[in-house]
Amino acid sequence: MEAMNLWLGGLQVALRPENVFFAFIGCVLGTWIGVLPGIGPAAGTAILIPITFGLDPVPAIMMLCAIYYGSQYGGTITSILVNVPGEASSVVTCFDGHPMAMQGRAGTALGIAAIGSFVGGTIATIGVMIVALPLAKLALKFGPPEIFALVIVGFTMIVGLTGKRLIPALLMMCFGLILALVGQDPVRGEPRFAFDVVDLYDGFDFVPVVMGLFGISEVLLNIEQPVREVIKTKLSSLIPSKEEWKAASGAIARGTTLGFFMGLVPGISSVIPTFVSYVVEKAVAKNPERFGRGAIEGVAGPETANNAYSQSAMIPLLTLGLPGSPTLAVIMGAFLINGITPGPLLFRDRPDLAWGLIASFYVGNVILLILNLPLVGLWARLLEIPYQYLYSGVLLFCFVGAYSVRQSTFDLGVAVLFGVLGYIFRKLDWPMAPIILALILGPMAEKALRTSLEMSGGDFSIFISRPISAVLLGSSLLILAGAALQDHLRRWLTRQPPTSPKAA
Amino acid sequence: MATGAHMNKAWKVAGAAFLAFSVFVVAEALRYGFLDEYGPGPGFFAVLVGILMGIMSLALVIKVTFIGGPEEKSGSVFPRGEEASRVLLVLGGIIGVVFLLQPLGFRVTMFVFLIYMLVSLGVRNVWIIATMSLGGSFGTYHVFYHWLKMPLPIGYLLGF
Repeated sequence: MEAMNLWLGGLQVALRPENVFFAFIGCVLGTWIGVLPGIGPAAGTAILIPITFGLDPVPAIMMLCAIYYGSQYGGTITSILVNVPGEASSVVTCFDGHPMAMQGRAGTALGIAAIGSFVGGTIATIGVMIVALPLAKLALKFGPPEIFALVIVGFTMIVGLTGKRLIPALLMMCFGLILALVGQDPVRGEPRFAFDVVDLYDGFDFVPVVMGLFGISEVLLNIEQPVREVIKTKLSSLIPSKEEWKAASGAIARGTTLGFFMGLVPGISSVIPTFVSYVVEKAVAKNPERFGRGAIEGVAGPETANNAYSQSAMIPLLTLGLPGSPTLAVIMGAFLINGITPGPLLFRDRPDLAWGLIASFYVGNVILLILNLPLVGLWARLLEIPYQYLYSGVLLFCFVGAYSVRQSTFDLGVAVLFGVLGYIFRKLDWPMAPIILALILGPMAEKALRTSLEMSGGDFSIFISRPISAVLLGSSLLILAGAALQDHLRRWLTRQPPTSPKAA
Repeated sequence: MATGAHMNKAWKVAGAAFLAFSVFVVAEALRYGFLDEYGPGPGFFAVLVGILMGIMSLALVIKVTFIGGPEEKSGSVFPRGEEASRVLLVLGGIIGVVFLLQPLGFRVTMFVFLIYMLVSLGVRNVWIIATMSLGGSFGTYHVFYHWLKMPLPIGYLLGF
């Protein structure tokens, strides 16, 4: 009941005309980012951060979150129409979405994806409403050792996502932590790693680093290739037939459940729920041979799971301050720039924002449905924008974003430096999300570690003698071990029995 | 030479670079003080992170050398020839912006940069170049400076 009252208060905030307007702008921009192949949601969200600088924190955050879930749907459009996923979680949609388009059923595929996304996103938001408050209340009991352990869980979640790239991911995390250490010591106030450069006394700002790592490096990488051909497409009716509805409704229900619960589990990327949903749909189908040839369940299930996941993945971010994906790490940085620290205190100190944001998910889902059903033809036409214009625009936004935070050309140089570093890391195929997360959570981790050790007189056992921190650190170990062993486990499960010489 | 070997070499070089960086971090952090009278000092966390980074770098180099590196990918790790020229051309333009933004101001710098970018990337239609560069420079300035109240450099030279 308490959550319902708070949510109703939040709904009043979310329905203010200016907030609806900025959520609408966010959905438009997010869908646009998702539509454009080559610009991932993390990079797209990062380059759009400057737009929120002049806004109040509430509409600014609502807009950024709308960009996030808008991008989840936008990726679907290119998957179905041109067999090019706008982002990783839309890969599965290509399997049956594009064959549907080839059969002249592109409109139906886009229609069911939009409806599934709406249903999944809306139901998952109800789940967010139910789970968020108890989790935030629990987190309020955390002291420095628990906070440190929680941050370690955050690090291992992002590092664990990288699978086979475990060592590079840990290296990137350390690199991000070192970057976070530049500037004044948060406990004693002494400058560190500044080397008498005045601009470094305040440390590296998050925005220029993100602009460089995600924006500039993305352009440098894409620019290597000769100019790509623009893509032209045709659309059919958006409304599924009666038989198609019947087939898709079960897939939507299953996709919602899968996506919501997977969003709550640390370390699961948005790709996994879509794949699991696809496998489940194929397993429960009466004619599984239809899959890969235009089965509507193969679009409805994964698309629903994707949107349900993207809503429930906000729970760890909002209640514990732990982003579960690179895009959410960027959004967390944007929260901090706007003077808002995600975590349990958000629900206590800024209930208007916390509940307004949760309520805005509903508003955003309605906006996305309106945007994506009648305007899908317009989105498809965005694919016709030549890439030369797009890259120039991305760089322009990167410059504005990097400069504007502190009105500093030094930050512009920082963005370029990290653009080059990001380009090198991409070429090496090393993950960059751990750098961003470490840059954001590094100061919190250091302060919590040092305060905990001061509390215990230098005794590290404080982290395992307190039950919550012990459980959290144990979970971190499990996540890391899982990431390290998953490749061996997969190989072991799929290994062929040795052929005996006699049989041969 | 196999492409996987290129990638292995690149990983080894990167691992060695991070190893050197970690040694520098630890040495520098020790100067700030590992422990002081209150407990962990300003260099405490940096030393721990530096040591972890060193161990990971070493593990990476050893793994790539003795166990095996990343799976093979098509093409070389870094671009060559025409591809490299395109990257360097864009990078040159980006670096130019860093140095010109303050003296020339946002509008003039971006106007010049966008023309440079579009021409470098093969756009030849004068009207498109003019519209994009004017809209991207003066238009963007108007939106951010006047509507979103975000200060952007005006420029020492032209003063407008």
